[in-house]
Parts: sequence; structure tokens; C-alpha cells
Amino acid sequence: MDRNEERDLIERAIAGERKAAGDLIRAHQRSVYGYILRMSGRPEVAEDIVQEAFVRVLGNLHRFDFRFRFSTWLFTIARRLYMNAMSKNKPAYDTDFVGSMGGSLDRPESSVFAAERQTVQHDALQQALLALTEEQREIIILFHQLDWPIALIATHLDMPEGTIKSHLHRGRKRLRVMFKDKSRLAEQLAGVAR
Amino acid sequence: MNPTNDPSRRSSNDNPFRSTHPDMRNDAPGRIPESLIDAAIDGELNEDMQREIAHALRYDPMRKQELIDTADAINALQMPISVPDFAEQILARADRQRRFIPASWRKKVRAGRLGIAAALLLTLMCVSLVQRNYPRWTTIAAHPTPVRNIESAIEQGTNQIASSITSECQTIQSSIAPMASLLQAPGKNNQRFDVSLASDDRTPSASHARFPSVRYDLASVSAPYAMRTRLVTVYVDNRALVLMMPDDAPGAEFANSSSLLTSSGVHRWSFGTSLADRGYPHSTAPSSLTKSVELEVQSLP
Repeated sequence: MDRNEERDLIERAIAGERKAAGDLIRAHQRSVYGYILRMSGRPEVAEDIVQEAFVRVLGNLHRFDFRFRFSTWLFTIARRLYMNAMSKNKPAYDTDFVGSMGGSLDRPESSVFAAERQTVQHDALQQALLALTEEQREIIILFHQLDWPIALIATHLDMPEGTIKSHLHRGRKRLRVMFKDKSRLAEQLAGVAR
Repeated sequence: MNPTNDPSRRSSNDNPFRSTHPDMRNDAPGRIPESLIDAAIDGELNEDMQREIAHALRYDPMRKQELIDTADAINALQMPISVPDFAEQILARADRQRRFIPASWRKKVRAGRLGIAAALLLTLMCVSLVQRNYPRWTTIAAHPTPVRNIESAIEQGTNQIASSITSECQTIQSSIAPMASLLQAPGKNNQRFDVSLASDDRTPSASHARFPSVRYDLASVSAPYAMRTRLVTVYVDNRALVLMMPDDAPGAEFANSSSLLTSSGVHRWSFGTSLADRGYPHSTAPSSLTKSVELEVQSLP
């Protein structure tokens, strides 16, 4: 969605058009949900945070400054909510969510094995992500999953760009190793199970 | 020897995982620098540089494998996630919390709030104005009531006043007693002063309707010097009744005759006398009782 289209949606939502508000939510819910899900590793936490973040955004939509990006504002609120939630409950990896992420099972062309492989990969990725530090995890998600530029991440996290790059490189190195190990282990286990 | 077991090859990074895992070794001589790979992944290299790195990777299989593993992890990150549609739930919650208000309604709500605030401000200003000009309109406490029946009004308050004055007198007495010797007025012995009774020369109450006695409770007299009161003359129907202080007539006329000397030269005491004993006719009530008393005072020793 380009910024003009987004601005139009926001203005219509401010004017009380429910459909525009719904479209605005649908345009951003995937990215913000993916961000919080990857950060927390728990879908129920991600759902709660995403809903609360959107409710807060809608309640204050008339205060939105169009000079900034809507997604940055939304992610800032979601991130704050996530930090609050995590200060109360430490994140714990929830193996049940692997099943809930298996959207590919609904695709008629996918085989059972392909779906299982994807599930294993999701599982390995989440475990690898949770092995990173909070900063590394967040920066990798923002950079590689959400395609945010370094400068924007630096603004969002209030860190110098050099620090962001340092976290990114170290985190990526560790993610690579952890993901490889976890994938290998998971595939071995899956093979044994078959 | 396994390079990871060699302490000299361990990374100085405090992360234990980095120093022990075989894939996390530091750059070896002749290998493509890791920072260059990072720069390529971050998209910071131009196409020429990227081509050069791609060419160099053919001769660095370990780095190539690392790059492939990194790409796998990044591709896994970019795999689609199934996301439930939250829109209706969010809108319902927003409606419940009344946060998602249409702009037209928001204007009305804002105008309403401003109106209420303005009304409150106006009310406060009016109350303030009225209070300034007509304070009695806004006073919640009981209004002071003008005394129409002096006798009953005095009757009601006498006991309270008497008790408070008594305690005050005791306090003053105890405080000035040590200074009494300093308050002498030489050469003023046995002089008479006409002074006026400053306090409750109260009208006889119902029980004394026939004036069987005259009694002044806690009367106070201002004297020009610190002196002892020796006698008091009270005029009843223009007949002078000379009341002696207890030093001269013990227990005769003064029920409570302690003459208190205050620092301002005010004598306070209680006294009374029986009119019958003074030859006043019982059967007829006196028509007047003057307020004036005559004091014979004496300097303090």
C-alpha cells in the first residue's frame, strides 16, 4: 500500500468510516502480528498485543501526524505493549504454535511431507530466534522479515546505526548456526518418526 | 587438534557459544572477510563488488556454505505466516471502549466537554461574585442572630463565659504572681477611684427577682495602678451599698472575692451581698441597679 492510499484510509477512518478502519487493520495486521509472533514465540501473546495495539491506534487516529509512517507508529505501540507484556511474563516457546502456523496444509497442491518440512523449519527458526538476545532478535526480524532499512530501525529502537549493524551481524551469524543445528535436528527427528 | 579446543583461537567475545561452535570461527587468512559478506547481505555493495564476491566464493567453500546457511535462515524468516483476521474483533473492542468515534461525533463530544467546562467556570465565577457582594447568601454556617432578649441571651452564655474567664484568670494569675512586687504604686494608698464596671453586672435572674442579693460574677475593673481593692460601693436605687473585701469583712459579702491583678491593671473578682442584711426592704423590688462601682484601692505591699 502506498502512502497516499494509506493516508486516504486513515482520513476515512478518522471520519468514522468503519470499512476504512477495517482495511487499515487488514493492511498492517500481517506485519505487526509476524513481528510480535517472532519476538514472543507465542501466538496468543501476539494476538492480544496486535489487537490492543490496533485499538489504541484507532482511538488516537485523529492525532496521527501524516509526516510519519503509520507502520512506524503502529510498531512502536506494539513494541511497547510487547515489552510490558514480557516484563510480566518471560517469553516461553510454545510448541503448539507450530501447528497453528501450518497454513500450507490448506493448500491442495502441497504434500504432507512438504507441509511437515515447512513446520519443522518454522519450529527451528523460532527456536533459533529465541536463542538470540532481545535486540538481535528484534533487529533481524525488522530487517529481514519486515524489510525495514537500517536507518528506520535505528530510529525505531533509538540506537545508533552502527550499533544496529553490530547487533544485526552478530545476531545473523548466531541465527545461521542455530537455525542450521535446529533444522538438522528437527529433520532427523522427523525422519525417525516417519 | 580441533581448532575450537585451541584457546588461542577462541573469540574474545563473552558468548560461550561463539567460541566453541565450529561454524563460528574467526576469519582465517586468505578467506573472504566476513564483514564483506555482511555488507553484501545488507545490500551495501554495488553490483561489481557483489560479482567479485560471488566469484571469490568459488574458492572459499566454507564461506560459501555459511552464506547458504544464512540465506536458508533468512528465507525461513520470510516464509508466510498464517494470520487470523483481527479486523472485526478489533473494531468491536474499539466500539466497546468508545475509542473509535466518528469525526462528527467526536466534534460533538468535544463541544459538549468544552460546554461543561465553560459552564463550570461560569458557575464558579458567579459564586465568587455573589460571595464578594452578598456574603450572607453563600454562607452555609449559621448566621449570627441579633439578640432581642438580652436577659435570656446572657443567661445562656454566662456559664460558658464564666468558666472560660475563670480559667483565663487562673492562668494570668499564676503568670503574674511573681511580678506582683514589681507593680507597686507608691503614694497611692487609700485613694478612691471612680471606675466603671466593665463586665457582667448582669441583671438579676428570675430566682433573684426580688433582689434578695446583689451579685457580680467575675466583674472586672480597670484601675490606673496595680492596686488591691479594699471596698466596692454598689448603688441600688441610689442607695450606696458598700461591700468590703474579705480582708476587712471575712466571708460577709464576697462569695468569691479573690481580687486578681492583671498586668494591665485590671481587677477581676466576684462578689455579692444580701440586700436584706443591708436594710433593703424585701417586699419591694428595686427599680434600678447602677453599673458604677466605687473602689477603694490600696497599693500592693
